[in-house]
Amino acid sequence: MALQQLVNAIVFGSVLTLFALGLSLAWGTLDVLNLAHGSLFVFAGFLAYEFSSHVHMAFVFLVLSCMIATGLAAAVMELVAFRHVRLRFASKRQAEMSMMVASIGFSTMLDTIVGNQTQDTSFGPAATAYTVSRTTIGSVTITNIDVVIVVVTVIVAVALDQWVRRSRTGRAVRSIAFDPATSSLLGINVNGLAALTMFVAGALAGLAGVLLAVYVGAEDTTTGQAYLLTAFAILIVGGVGSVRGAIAAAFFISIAETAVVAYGPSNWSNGVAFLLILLVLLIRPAGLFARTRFQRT
Amino acid sequence: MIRLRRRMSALAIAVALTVGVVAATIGASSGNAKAVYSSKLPKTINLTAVEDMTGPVSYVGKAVVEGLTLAMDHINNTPLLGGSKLALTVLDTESSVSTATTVFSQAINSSASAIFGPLLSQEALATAPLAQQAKVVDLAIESQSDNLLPIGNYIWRATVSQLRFDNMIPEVVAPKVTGTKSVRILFDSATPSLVEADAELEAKFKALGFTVLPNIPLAISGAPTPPNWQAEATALEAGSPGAIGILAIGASNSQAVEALRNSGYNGVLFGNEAATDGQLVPAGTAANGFVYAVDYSPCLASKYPSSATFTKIIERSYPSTTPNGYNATGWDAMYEMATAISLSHSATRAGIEQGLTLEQKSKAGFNGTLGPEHLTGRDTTGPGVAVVWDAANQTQTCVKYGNPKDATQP
Amino acid sequence: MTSLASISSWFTTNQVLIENILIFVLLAFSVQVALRTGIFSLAGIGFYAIGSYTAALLVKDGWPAVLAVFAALALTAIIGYLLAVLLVRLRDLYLAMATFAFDLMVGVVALNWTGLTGGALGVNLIPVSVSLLGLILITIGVMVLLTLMENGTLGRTLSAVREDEQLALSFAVDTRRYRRFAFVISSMLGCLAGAMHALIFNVIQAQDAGFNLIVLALTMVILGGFGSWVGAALGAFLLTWIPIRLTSVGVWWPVYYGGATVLVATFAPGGLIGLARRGLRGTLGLWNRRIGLQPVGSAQPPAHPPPAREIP
Repeated sequence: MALQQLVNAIVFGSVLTLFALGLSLAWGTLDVLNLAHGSLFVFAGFLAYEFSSHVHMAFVFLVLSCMIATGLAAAVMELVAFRHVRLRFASKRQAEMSMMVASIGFSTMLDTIVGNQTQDTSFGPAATAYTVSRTTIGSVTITNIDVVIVVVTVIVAVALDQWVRRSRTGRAVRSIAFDPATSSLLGINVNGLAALTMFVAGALAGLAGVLLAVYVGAEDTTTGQAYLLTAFAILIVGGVGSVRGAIAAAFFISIAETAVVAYGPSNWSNGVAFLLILLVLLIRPAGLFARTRFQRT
Repeated sequence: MIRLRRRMSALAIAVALTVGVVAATIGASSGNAKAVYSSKLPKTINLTAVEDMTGPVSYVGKAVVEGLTLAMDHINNTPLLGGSKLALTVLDTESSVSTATTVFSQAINSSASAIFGPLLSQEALATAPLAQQAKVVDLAIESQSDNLLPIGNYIWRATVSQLRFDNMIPEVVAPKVTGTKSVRILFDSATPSLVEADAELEAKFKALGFTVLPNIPLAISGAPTPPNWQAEATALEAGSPGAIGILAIGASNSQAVEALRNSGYNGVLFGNEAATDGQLVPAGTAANGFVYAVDYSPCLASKYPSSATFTKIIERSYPSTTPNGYNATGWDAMYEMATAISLSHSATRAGIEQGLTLEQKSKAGFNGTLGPEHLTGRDTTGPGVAVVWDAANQTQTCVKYGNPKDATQP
Repeated sequence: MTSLASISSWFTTNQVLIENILIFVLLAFSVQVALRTGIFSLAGIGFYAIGSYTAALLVKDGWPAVLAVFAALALTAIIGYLLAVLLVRLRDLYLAMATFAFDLMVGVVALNWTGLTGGALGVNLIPVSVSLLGLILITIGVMVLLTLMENGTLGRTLSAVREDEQLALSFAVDTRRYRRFAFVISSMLGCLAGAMHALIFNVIQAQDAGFNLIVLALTMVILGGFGSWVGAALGAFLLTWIPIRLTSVGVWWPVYYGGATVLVATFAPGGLIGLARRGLRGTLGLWNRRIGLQPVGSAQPPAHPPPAREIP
């Protein structure tokens, strides 16, 4: 059972990673704590349900179309609200708070749309969207969706890490995070890049959302909230803005929670993530992998 | 200069707040319904339903109101209340306790003779004391909290607690088990009624000679982290139980079923009545054969004529949706209310309470959507039915009918 | 005489609405006090839960309401101080997330520590121990306290700590002490709101103070305006009252509500109070530009986009 639970933890940790990466990207580069990230996640699952019920398409296309749609939704949030906040607000702290509250508004709108369209009952992609098949190797049972999730996560994580650290656009995005004013003086199209970054962050939420929709088979509008809150734990433990931190923290939390489920009183598994936050805050408040140190005063 | 500006700002703010507070009361009617005993029924009897019409459980609230409205129209076309007509006002709690208490108190201050209460237990528990204090009947719907009825004699409940018929589930599951005669249950520890359901089911399985493996409590509702269903499935399958139970609400039903089937589990799966109304649809064929027990099912129509009447009426009015237990409890609640009024010949607030007491004392019961139903100790009891989910047709198949003579099925 | 009777009957009719609004006002104050000092602390909601359980359990045990509330406040002051020492060096969103996590942890403990809190069942049949008048008086008392905190030397010092901490330090202001102070006051206000809720509505549950309440309290303060308690009170009033009026729109009302939240948060810096103040100043015209003073907290958007950091 231990090995099976390890596999379960790795797959679950991968879904959490994909979700947290999008949130970390938006927060780390644009100072947007996008509380609508969970709603985007559910929105992607909803689109998967709608598309697959009406049109029969290959799974890859389903995922891509949901990703693009969700990315566009996030870009809209940036264009309608976050950009204006960034331009108008003098204080960074105030801008952060206002963007957070604006994201709350978007979250309410998205959840209502999805809820009304699904009569607030649970929904999932049609059976034709993806056929789950199973193999047993020794004492471990793995499904094809498990493999897809882990592989996709590895690819996306590596790609994102490389993009942010090595590519020109990635470095430009990092410079926006550091100093938007100077960046724009240096000829970086801050607004365009911000929209692109939010698109990518949304698309990551969309990717996680569709994969999750197939993985668990059903969700409703309340599903996103628990993922959002776990993502908070991941970002605090791993350190915001660090791709490696997010990955490490996601798997760490997933394995710790699964261990509690497997061996301990499972109703305390919720507390594990938050206990980890407490420990990290005591020992290393900026997060285990943070690059920016917190200020001393 | 500064002082002047500050004064003007303060004045403006004070004016704004005053305007705001005055505006807040526009629409809040201030009529006070005084309890005057009268033996002649008024032409219109006003009732108010305070339900969750928006928010995550809006599908329940809307279904309940559909049932209430259909029953009201049905009653208004019968001579049950002489020439008097029932009228229903619906107020939305927005799935928020503060809104629920506010609109409930507005209902108390209106001309409503009685109120149908909200479904979420937090809302029900917060609004019932208001009703008891104002001496207005609060006929609670769906809320299964144990702490509700003890609040006072004006608090009644129209929905049958699932604990009254869940005992039939093990009796249906037992013969289907082909593997070991053992069972393991996972339940949502954040929902009190499911904690009780787990205890009841485990006791029954034990009585039937099953080995009850250690259960898995999991806080799902409102938890800050999502369940890892594959991990839960693996934990459930440890020891290879012949049957696995999932006691959860909402999407968790399909999620758990899919996780269990995806991991290769072939034994019998069972659950609770929250698996009704489409919650098992996303799981597709994986949910075929899922056993649970409900108060109302369309398949009761062949057994109880009163249930058939209801099913026919609601299918005619809402042809695109399957009738479910939430519609049914709304219908029954309205019928209980109307019966109380007809028994006491009074539509005053005190009169309705007396009517319900008479209804309860009469022990004759009434034939409702669940079949023969009774009011017992301010609670409603009905036979219930154990059903099996048919995934291909997306319907419930009635397998074991409860005995109407037993308030709780043994 | 009749007008007095009609006033008191108006209060009775709308008692529950007013009670709900005032409890949210106190909670909004909790968030506002922290934000005004530049601390992004949402811990008030966690202390709302702690305050409500403490007050409820003590009153059910036979304690008089006043003592129970004071005990809850004292407990909060202690835990709040320890938390402040632990967390106050964190910045901005990091602190917000940490206090968020604290709030959720309190919820998890409340849900699982069944022996103390009743677990998922919560605590019910709490005797109603605070009247509407009592709540109104307490709220007014808090408003007076906050007005004193916002003016004078203390008020200016707290604003300085928010606006430019380095500068405040150079004036020998112990910013850490003021930040801790604001954190503790914020926590105690949250506790007070929770205690009031428990003692008026006589039932509390573990899920009461969760994510939704955190988000609601923050929205109230940002939309109302965090510069002064007036903004927080306005936000609390609007966000309690408007959703009830909006239901007549039908099942799509949250979309309008969410949309309005987005618009106000984006285009009204300083919240609605900020809008009101600017409107007033606009009508006062040249006067203000000549004086050149800015009331505390209403961050007036400058004419041109400012640099996020001063380029030395």
